[in-house]
Amino acid sequence: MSFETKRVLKKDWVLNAEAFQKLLFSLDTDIEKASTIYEDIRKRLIRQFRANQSQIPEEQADEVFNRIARKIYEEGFILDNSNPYPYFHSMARYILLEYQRESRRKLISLQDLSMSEEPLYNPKEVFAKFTERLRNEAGLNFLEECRRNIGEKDIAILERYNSTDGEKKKELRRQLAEDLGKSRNALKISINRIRKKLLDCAREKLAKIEPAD
Amino acid sequence: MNDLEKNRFMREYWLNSLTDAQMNAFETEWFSNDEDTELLELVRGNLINDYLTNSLPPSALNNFENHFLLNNAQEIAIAQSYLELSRQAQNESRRPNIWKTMAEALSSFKRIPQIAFAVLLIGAFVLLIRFYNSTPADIGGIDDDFTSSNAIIFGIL
Repeated sequence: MSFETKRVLKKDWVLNAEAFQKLLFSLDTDIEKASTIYEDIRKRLIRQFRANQSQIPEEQADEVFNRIARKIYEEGFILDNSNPYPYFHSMARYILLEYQRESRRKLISLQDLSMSEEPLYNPKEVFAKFTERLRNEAGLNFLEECRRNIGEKDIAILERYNSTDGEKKKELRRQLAEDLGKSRNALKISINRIRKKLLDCAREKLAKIEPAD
Repeated sequence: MNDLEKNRFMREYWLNSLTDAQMNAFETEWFSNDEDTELLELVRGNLINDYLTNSLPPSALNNFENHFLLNNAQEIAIAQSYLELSRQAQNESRRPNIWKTMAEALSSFKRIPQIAFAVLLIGAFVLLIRFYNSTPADIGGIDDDFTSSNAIIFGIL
C-alpha cells in the first residue's frame, strides 16, 4: 500500500459508535468523567486551532478525535490517560501542518508544483509568490475595502499599536491603552480582534479570486 | 512565570524553538484558558509585525523564515499588504492638500470679516455725518426738484 493510499484511507475513515466508546474509555473508565474530559479537550483543541488562525477550528478539532479514535480502534493504541492533553495537542499540530501544506498547494500556481509529492519550498519564494498574487489580482482593492469596512477608528488604533518599536514599545502601548480608557489586557484583546477581522475579511475576499482546485 | 517570560516562551513557541517537553507542557497550560490563548494570538501577530518592520533579531529571523514564514505565507503576505496600504494612507495624509491648506489659511484669518465689518460700519457712519452736514448744493449734478424734495425729507428727518 503506497503512502498516498494510506493517507487517503486515514482521512476517509469514519468514526463509528464502537470506536467512539473506546476513545471515551481511553480517557476514563467512568463514562461521565470521560465525557467531561472529552469536552475539555475539545475546547482546548478549538483554542489551539483558533490561535493558529484556522478558519474551521471545530471541524479540525473533530478531525483530531477521529484520528486518535481510529488509532485506538484499529491499531490498539494506548492513550496515557493520566495526561492525555499533550498527545491531542501534538496531533492537532500535525493536522495543522497538513492543512497548511494543502493550502500552499492550492494557492501556488499548479504549474509550478508537482502534485505527486511535497516539493521542496523556499519560504521566501513562497512568500514572494503570495505577495505577488495579492498585488496582481485586484487583491489590494479587496484589502482596501476590508480596511474601510473595519472603520477608521479601529485602523488608527491598530496602526498606533503596530507603529511602536524598540524600547519605547511598552510605554507607548501603555499610553495607548490609557488614551483609549482601556486596561492593557482589554487593549490586547481589541488588537487581536481587529487583526482577526482584517485577516478573515481578506481571506474571504481572496478566496473569491483564487482559482478552484 | 511572569508576563515577560511568558511572552518570550510564546514567541519561541511560534518560532518552533521550544523542546518537545516544553511544547507539551506549554500547550497543555496555555490552551486550557481563553486568556493565554488570546495572548498567544497577540504574540503571533506582533511577531509578524516585527518581521515585516525588520525588527526581529537575527536568531529569531532565521527561525521565522525557515519555519513560520513557510507555513503562514498567505497570512504574512496579507499583513504585509495591509502594512503597505497603511503606509500609503499615512503618506497621503501627510501630503499637503491644496483645499485643506486654503481652509486652514482662511480659518486663521477668521477675525478678518469682523474687522472689515467694523471698518465698513465706521465708514458708513462718517459718510452719514458728512451727508447730514452738507447742504443740497454741495451734492452736484442733481436737478432742482430733486434737491428741494430732498431738503424737505432731510428737514423732516
